Amino acid sequence: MEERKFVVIGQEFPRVDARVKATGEGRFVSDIQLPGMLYGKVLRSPYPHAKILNIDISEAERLPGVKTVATAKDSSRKKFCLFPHLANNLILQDERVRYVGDQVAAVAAVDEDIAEEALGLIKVDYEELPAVFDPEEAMKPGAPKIHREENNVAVHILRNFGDVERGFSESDVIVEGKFKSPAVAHCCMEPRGCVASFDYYGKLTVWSTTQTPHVLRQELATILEIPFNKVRVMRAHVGGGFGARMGIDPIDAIASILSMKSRKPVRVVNTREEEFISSRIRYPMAIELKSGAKKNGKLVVREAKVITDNGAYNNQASTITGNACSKLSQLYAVPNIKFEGFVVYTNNVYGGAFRGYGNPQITLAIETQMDELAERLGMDPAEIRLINANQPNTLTASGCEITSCGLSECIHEVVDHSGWKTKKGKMGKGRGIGMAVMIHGGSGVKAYWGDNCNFSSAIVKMNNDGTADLFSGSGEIGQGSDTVLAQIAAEELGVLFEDINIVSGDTDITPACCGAWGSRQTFTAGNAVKYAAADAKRQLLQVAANLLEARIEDLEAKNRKIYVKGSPERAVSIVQAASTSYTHLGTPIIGKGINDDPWSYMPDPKTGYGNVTSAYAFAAQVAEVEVDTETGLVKVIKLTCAHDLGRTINPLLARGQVVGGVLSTGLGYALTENLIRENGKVLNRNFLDYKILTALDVCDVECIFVESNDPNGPFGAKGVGEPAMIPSAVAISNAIYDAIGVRVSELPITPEKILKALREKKG
Amino acid sequence: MKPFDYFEPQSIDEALSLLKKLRGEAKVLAGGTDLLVQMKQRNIAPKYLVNIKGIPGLDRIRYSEKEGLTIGSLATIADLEDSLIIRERYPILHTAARELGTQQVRNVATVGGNLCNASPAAETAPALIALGASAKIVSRSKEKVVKLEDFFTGPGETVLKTGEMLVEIYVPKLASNSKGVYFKHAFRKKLETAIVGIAVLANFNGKGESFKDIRIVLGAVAPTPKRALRAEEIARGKRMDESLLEEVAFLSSEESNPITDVRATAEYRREMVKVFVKRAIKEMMNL
Amino acid sequence: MKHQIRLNVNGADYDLLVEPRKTLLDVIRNDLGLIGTKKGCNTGECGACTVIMDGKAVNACLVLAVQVKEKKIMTIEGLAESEKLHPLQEAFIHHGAIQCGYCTPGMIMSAKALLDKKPNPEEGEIKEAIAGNLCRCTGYLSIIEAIKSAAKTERSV
Repeated sequence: MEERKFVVIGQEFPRVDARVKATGEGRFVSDIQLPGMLYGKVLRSPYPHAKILNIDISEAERLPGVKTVATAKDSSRKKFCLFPHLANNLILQDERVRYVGDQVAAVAAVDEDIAEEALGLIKVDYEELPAVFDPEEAMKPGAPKIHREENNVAVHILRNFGDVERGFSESDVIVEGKFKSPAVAHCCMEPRGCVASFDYYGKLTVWSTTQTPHVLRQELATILEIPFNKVRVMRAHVGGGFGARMGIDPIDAIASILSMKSRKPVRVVNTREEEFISSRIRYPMAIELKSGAKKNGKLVVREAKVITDNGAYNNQASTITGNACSKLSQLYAVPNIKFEGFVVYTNNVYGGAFRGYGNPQITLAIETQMDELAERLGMDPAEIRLINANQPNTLTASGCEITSCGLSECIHEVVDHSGWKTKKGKMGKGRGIGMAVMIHGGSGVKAYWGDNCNFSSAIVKMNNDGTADLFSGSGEIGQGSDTVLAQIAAEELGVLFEDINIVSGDTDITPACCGAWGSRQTFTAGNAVKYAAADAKRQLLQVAANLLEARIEDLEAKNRKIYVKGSPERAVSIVQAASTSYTHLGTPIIGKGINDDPWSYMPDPKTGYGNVTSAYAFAAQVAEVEVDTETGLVKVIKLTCAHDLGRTINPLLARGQVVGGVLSTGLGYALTENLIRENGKVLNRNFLDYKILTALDVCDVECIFVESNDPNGPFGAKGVGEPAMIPSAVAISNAIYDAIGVRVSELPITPEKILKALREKKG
Repeated sequence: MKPFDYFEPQSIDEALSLLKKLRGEAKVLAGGTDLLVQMKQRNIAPKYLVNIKGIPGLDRIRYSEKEGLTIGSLATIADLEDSLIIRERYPILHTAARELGTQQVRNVATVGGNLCNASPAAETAPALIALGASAKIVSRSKEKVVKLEDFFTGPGETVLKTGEMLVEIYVPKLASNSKGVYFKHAFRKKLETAIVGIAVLANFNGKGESFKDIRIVLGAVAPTPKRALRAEEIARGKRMDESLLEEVAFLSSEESNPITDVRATAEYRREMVKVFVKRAIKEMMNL
Repeated sequence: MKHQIRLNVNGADYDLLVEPRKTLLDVIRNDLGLIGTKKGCNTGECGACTVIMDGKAVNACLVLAVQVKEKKIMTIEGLAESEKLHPLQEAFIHHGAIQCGYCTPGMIMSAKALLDKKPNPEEGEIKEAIAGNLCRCTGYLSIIEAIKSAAKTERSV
């Protein structure tokens, strides 16, 4: 691909909303104030499994200050789920509750204290039912049934590529092991919330902590049984997502119903405690993996069994488990794969998408075994990974078409920058170094809301003073998509960054996009934005061609000018072209862009074969640790990270994603985060006891970007948001093995587990 | 929080008579960093709050060569942390104060509040007990001084009765050749409740090889902060060497009585008592 | 029973009638409309509600409005001088220290309280000052760099 010099791409522009957020002018859901607004609270089940015999709201209704109380009777009783065919959850229960925190009723009152008091006046008669919390227990015959009469297996996945038996027989070395990934909370700094306002036009306007405004609009309209164009999801600043806010949350529908009943705006926001007990979590998984390789280090075969704790209702466990499975053949392009996945109901809270989407869990297993294979073969862990690294323009056994791929470069970079060769196996005194790599989708997948659905669309409205408005249906949740999309538009249009005004997310104003998840927006929304800008540019170029008496093919737009290639003095300004169009020709300039992601397709539902994503992101990370063998405390000294993200649209923001992913979510996942549940009750429901890291717990992070220039990404770019944290935990785990010769294969790697492993090693 | 009535007495006397009048349905509000959290979590719902922070003269930190250190119960933890006197003369207390909560909490939490809250894992208590501190308690009729090691009676419980108030903490002047160390063991560096807290204060002989006196105080491993008396006894007057160190650490661990909870198991805590008593003594010997 | 109080916030006096159970956070957000200060946990752990009270960083969710009295409160809205942003705000913007932005006001106020007391802080002191401000997005490194940079800018003025 010809290398062009970019004007806007690659620049470290501060985010477009940074100033507003730095001055306290950010408008988050709980900042939205509307006249007459009421405050809503949700009554949640205290039992993990119970029949609801009766709900008496009469006393609550009579409390002065209470305007309305809602129960399931006030809802359509439509079941909801990102996958409609799996839907079995209701926004308000009145027959059965299936986890501690399940929604039973809701109150809207003139202030929060009164709403809280009213909750205490709602009388619910429960008949407790036997409950089950461990998925393996839930799979046994005789376990309490949560949804289906036959058993508690919500989804069963079987995948087979190549010939696994032959693969094992041909392997010179085989390793097997068991791994466990815990329940992890997103801990977005802003609790989930929604302001809903249903007016006398019959229009519902909603501000929500959502990652997916257009999807939310559709899901809300469906569940409330009103036309889509009667629901408007407004743009609000969102205080974090990480997957938790993908698709509808009961709170969105509950706030809407309260508003419809009271004819007043209603704000419902979770308390932090509610966040810990009822928010989606990372799906806990128990993984058994067996890997085989040849003497020369080449991987031949992998076989895995995964049991996923689905929790009480269906959400995304099937695709997340499927995604975990897909990595078995994707990472290192292993030719023979067998996978069995069980998604099992329990009476725990149900999970959802969380940065990595099943990949951190499976990568823990895969990358641990790569190190084990290396050890058995007497190879350096970097060497065995280089031997097996994915290469550009290859096809995997499961049908994934790898186009751009910088994995080998990533591995070389981290080896060079981390001091790998001088440190591996040589440090002593409880110090060690370890490596892990990963593959992940960098453009989203066609898994939701239909069988061919990973689109984004955008509109560019050129103004006659040379500025432009960009409308994108994407979701800005703090990751920086607004800024990156504005940069893409500016570069394509030939204007400067400050000439673009981006409006995203508002569903009345912006065209549809599937939203922020799957590290997709840079690639998928970015392409839509690029197409829209190109469309607007074509219209500008047409005007300029006439002004310059040149052919359109000979023109180029850059730096607010349109000029003839090779004769830059023959130019008109973009302002001139735009205003000529508007005022002289009487024609506004509007560019449209739709990206329907033509390069990927939904995998075959039976076999799983298919190019699931249009662009694949790669990374390698090296962790250096120091283990205190008396206390078991692991101190991470440094993380060296190399990420192939195709093209760095904005290095400042890309670094933010990597450092944030590694330190703010990766380290905690590895060492300290665990939602401790006992009989379905969350025991550590605050920041004191659920341990996300503080500023004092951070370590040095070096971040290197490898630009593999994806052929289909906008200016070569693909995603980086999730890749940031996928290999971190296992890099740390591998480093611990280098340091003290023990492996803890159940996350988080707590001091107690380290000491136990050391004792077992000794004895 | 549930509604409550609120009072701001302007003197100790006024506070005490109010507390007596409200007959145990009132809670004393000082910094509020423990009390308000408990009220928000609906663990308690007092009908009345009596804010004593307005009472003058209770927040001073004074030192004299003769009397040692006097800390007003309303001095904040940040006051302890910032005090040059404490940093120079009682560094163990400086360390313990720094370990508490976060900066925002330390800026409003009071020493008195921290002690009266009587969390078994509190940071200041083991350090103060190691320093031989005592508490001055006043009521309308009398005042008494109680050794701090006798002040705590159980998790969240102290000797204070309704109508009594903690007003000052005395820390005696340290004997020359004294060294003290406080360790808080937790999994993150801040925003943590101690898994174990160990305070050791020793008074060395002239050459610094043996202990004339030693106090070992264990925090977070018993219903109250607790001195490891048997461990102290075998160390007192002796010359410290590796095997004595092992024995002192072992006995300290034996004297602990930790529980298993969401943060750690009892076994781990017992093991950590050993580790940190050893580390504390080793650090003191090298100081 | 409501209490009559006068609060001094960002240099202005406000006369209010409040219930004792209302926290400073509730009052500045709901009664004064100063919504820059955020509620993240309501129990003094996350620091999103950090304001400066008589020069010290405090969690506004753990201070009752009736307790404040004559103490001077500064919130994020009081930092910039009309169009001109405070060096901390500029530094946060330019160092990529803001992502979702929810922790930002509290984080900046903790940093301000530190720089007012220690204009030349060491890295350890910066980390200690913001240890009570949780961030799930940035990993803190860019925030620490921003504070260092702002300290340098302020010292050079």
